[in-house]
Amino acid sequence: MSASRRYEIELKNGITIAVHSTSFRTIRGRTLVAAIFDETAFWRDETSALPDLETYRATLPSLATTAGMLIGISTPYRKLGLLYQKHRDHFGQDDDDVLVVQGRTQVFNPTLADSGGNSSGRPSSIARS
Amino acid sequence: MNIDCAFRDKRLFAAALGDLSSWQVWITVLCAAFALPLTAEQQQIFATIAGGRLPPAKRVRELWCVAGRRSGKSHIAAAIAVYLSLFVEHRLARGERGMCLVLAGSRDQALAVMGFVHGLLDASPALRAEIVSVSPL
Repeated sequence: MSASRRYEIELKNGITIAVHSTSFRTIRGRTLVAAIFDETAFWRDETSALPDLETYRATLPSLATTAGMLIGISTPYRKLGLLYQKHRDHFGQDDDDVLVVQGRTQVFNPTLADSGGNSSGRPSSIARS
Repeated sequence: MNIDCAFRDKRLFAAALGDLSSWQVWITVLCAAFALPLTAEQQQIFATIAGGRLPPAKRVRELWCVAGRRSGKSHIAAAIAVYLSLFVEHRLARGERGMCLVLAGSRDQALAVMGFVHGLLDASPALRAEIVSVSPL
């Protein structure tokens, strides 16, 4: 990943919205009320082969006391990593703890005409087996 | 206030999201994730994106959205962050501060998400009034 940056907004209710471009190292020890992973399939870190999985494992204890939600949103990329595992294990499964959804660009954003390229939300990288 | 009402309220999220007709699938996903009742139209939408499963019976611990490029992912990530920060009561000890953390894979991506967070808060006087301080972008 590139150099770590953090952008934060402190709110009156004691919650801080923080957007970080960093990894699992900065999560530990914080009390998280929610965690949102943006484009996990593309996370890279020169010191970790599995930055998405390591970040996920580091995040769960920080969410434990608050029972906060974890949301992952990403374009699929390859048959590896956290997004692939979640899709493989939970997509289409009646599970009240985990919901996985998938759709093409035009499904989620009908204002776009078919733009070609990787817009399927289910390319060769993540195929339901 | 539930997430469906918050998103549709022109004094809140709809102030920045604008025409909600293009956000119907995302709103359906969030309603399902929070175990809100789905309308008949939302049930049809859910069936097309959830692999044939039933909607969750309670708010899920984890929501994973696999979506194509330019699906509005960063925008919705920002909206979820604002909603969870301002409209959900959290289990915090007295005096404890909580963090709603959005993790992005790059500085540019983080900046893009934070831009959407700012846009959502700035567009609504009610949401903007909840800000104490903002770190420089």
